[in-house]
Amino acid sequence: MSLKLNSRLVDDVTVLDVSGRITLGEGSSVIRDTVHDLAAKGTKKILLNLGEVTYIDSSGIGELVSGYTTMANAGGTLKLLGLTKRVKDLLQITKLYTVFDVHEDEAHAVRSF
Amino acid sequence: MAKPESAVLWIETSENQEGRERFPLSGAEIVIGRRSDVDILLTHPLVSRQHARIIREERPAEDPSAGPVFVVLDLQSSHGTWVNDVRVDRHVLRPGDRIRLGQQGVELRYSEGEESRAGSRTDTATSMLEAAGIERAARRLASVLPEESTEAHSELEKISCLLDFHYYFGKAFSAEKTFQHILKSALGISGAERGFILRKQRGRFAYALGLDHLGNLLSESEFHTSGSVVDRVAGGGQPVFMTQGIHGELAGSESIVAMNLRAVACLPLEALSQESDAAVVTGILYLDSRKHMHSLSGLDEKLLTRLAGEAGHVLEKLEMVVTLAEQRRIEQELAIAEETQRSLLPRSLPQAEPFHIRAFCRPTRQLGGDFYDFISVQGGELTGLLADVSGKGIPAALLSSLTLGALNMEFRSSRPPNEVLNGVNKLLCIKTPAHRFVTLFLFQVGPDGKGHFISAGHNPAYLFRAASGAVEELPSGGIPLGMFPFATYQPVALELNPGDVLVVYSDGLTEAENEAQEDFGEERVRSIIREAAPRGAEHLETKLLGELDGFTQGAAQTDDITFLLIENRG
Repeated sequence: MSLKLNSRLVDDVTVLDVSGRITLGEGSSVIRDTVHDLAAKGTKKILLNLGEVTYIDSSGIGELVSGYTTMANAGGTLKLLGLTKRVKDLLQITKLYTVFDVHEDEAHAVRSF
Repeated sequence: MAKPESAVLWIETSENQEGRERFPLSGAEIVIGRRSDVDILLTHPLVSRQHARIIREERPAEDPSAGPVFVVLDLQSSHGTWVNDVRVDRHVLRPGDRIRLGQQGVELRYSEGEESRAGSRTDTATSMLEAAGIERAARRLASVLPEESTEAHSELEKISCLLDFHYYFGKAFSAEKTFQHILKSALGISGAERGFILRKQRGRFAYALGLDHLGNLLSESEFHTSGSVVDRVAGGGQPVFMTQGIHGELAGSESIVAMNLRAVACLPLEALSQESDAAVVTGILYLDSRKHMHSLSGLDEKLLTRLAGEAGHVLEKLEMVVTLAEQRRIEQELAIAEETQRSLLPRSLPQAEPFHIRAFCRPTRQLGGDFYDFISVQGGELTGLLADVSGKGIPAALLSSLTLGALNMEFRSSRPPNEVLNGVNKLLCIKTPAHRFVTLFLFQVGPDGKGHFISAGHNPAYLFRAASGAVEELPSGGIPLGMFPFATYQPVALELNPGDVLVVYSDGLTEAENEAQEDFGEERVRSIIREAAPRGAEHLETKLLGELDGFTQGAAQTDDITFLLIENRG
C-alpha cells in the first residue's frame, strides 16, 4: 500500500496520520510537501503519527528529517508519535532518536508542545 | 508509327501532377463507366454507367496496315465521349490524345509505351498507386458510394489520399511527420480549410499539430474551436459531422458563431486500451471550414472515419515508439551514471600489512548510492570508509561524488577523521536538501591493529573476534551526514587483533529480499560471519555471496549490496 496522509486538528496541534509505506518512489515526498505547505500557512505545531506505517526505508527517514528541519526553520516544532518497531530501529541505528521528540501517547504528545 | 504493344491511359484526377493515375492497356477490351462492374470506374456525374470501350484492333478499318491500334468506342453515353474536344463514336487512338467522358467530365490521356509519362510520378508511392490497386480500391469503396453522388469529381483523388496515407503509415518515424500525413490526407478527403490533431495528455485533449489546406502549419494559438464538439467526440467516441451548415445545439455555440464556421468534422482517434480490450480515445482529428466543405458525401464520411481509424493505430504505435525511445534515453543516462559511480570506487585495494582486504559492491540497475574508498593518510594507518547515500538514480550518484570529493579534500588537510566528518556534514547540509543524506562508517587502524572508527548513522559494523569466536557490533554514535548542521562526530576506539575480521556493510546486504519479501537479515549475516570468518576474509566473502544468492534466488535487487572485509593476518 502506498502512503496515505490525513490531517486533523487537536487543540492547536496539527496531527498528521500517516499510513502505508514511506519509501523512495511511493509518494514519500507527500510528507515533505504537506509539512512545507503547513509551515508556509503559519502552522507551528505538527505531530506526525506514524502508528500505521507498515514500512519505511532510509529515504523515508529523510522525509521525516526534512519535515523536522522545515518546521524548525519556520520557528515551529515537529514531533513523532507511535513508532512501529521498524521506524524505532531505524531511528536507533541512525541515532536520530537523539534529535526527534518521540511520544507513545497522543494526548501526552499534544500537551508536550 | 510505333506498335502499341503496351499503352497507358492516364486518368486526370486533379489539376496537379500528383493526381495522375496510370492504367496500362493490354489486348483485352476495357469498359469505362460508373457501374461497379466496369474495368475503369469513374464516379463522376457526367460519366454514364457504361460510358466507353477501348479495344485493340489488329487491322483497323480506317487503315488496315496501321495495326495493331487501340480504338475508343462510345457506348451511347448520355454526355458523349470526346477526343481532343471532338465528340466521337469511334476513334483510333494516337499518343497524346485527350479522351473526355462528357464535355466537362473526367479526362483521360492516351500514350504508348510504359515509360512515356512515367516521369510525372517516379516516387516509390507509384507502386502503391498502381492502376490495378487504385481500381480495386475504387471498386471496393464505390460500393458505399451513393448512387447519385454530387461531388464525384475527385473520388479517386480522395481514395488516393487514403492510399497515400497507407503508404506513409508504415514509414512513420516522428509524431509530427505522422500528424502531417494524417492531416494532409484528411484535408484532401474533406476539402476542409483547416485541420488539427489533438492528443490526450494528462487527461485532456491538447493541440498536437495544425495544418491548413495549403499545407501551412497552424500554431496552437490558431486553434480555438468549440469545446462542446471536442467534448462530445471525446466522451462518446462517435464522430461528429456538420458539413451542410452548422445545426442543432452546436449552432448556438459561441466559438462556432464567432469563427463564422460553416462546417466542422470531428473524429475520435482510437486505440485499444492496455488494460482492457475496449477502445479508448487517444486523439481527435478536427477539421473545419468557413465555407461549406464542398463534398462531404457518405463516401467522404466513411473515408474520413476509416482514416481516423488508421490514424488511431498509428498514434498507438507512435506511443510505443516514444516510450521505447524514452526508455533507451534513460538507460543511456543510467549507463553514464553507472560508469561515473564505478569510477568512484578504487581500482585496486591498498596493500597494508598486516591487513588483508576484500571489497564487494553490486549496484542495482536503478543505480543506488553506495561507495567505499581507502584514503592514504600520513603515518601509515589504514583508513577506509563505506558510505550509503539516500535515494537512487542520478541524484544519489551525484551526492556520492560530492561526498567523496569533500572527504578527500578534508583528509588532504591532514585533519583527524572526526573533524573531517564535521566539515563534510556542514558542507552537505548546505549543498543538499534535508531529505538527502549519507550514512558512513569510517575506520582507521595502524599496523599494530589499534585505531578507531566513526559511524555517521550507519548500520552497525560487525567485528569477528578470533580469540572468542564472537561477533561484536559496532553501533553508530552519530547521525547521518547532511541532515543537521549541528551534528558532531566522535571517534570510538577499535582494536583489530590477529585473526579478527571487521565486516562493514550497507543495508542492501541485510535487507536483500527473496520473492516472499523476507529480509536476508542481520541474524543470518552474523551467523555466516561466525562460521566462515575463522577461515579468512576470502572464504567469508565466498560464503556471504553464496548464501545471499541462495536466499534471494534471483529476486529483483532493490538496493546496492556493498561490503568491506578487513582481516588482520598478523
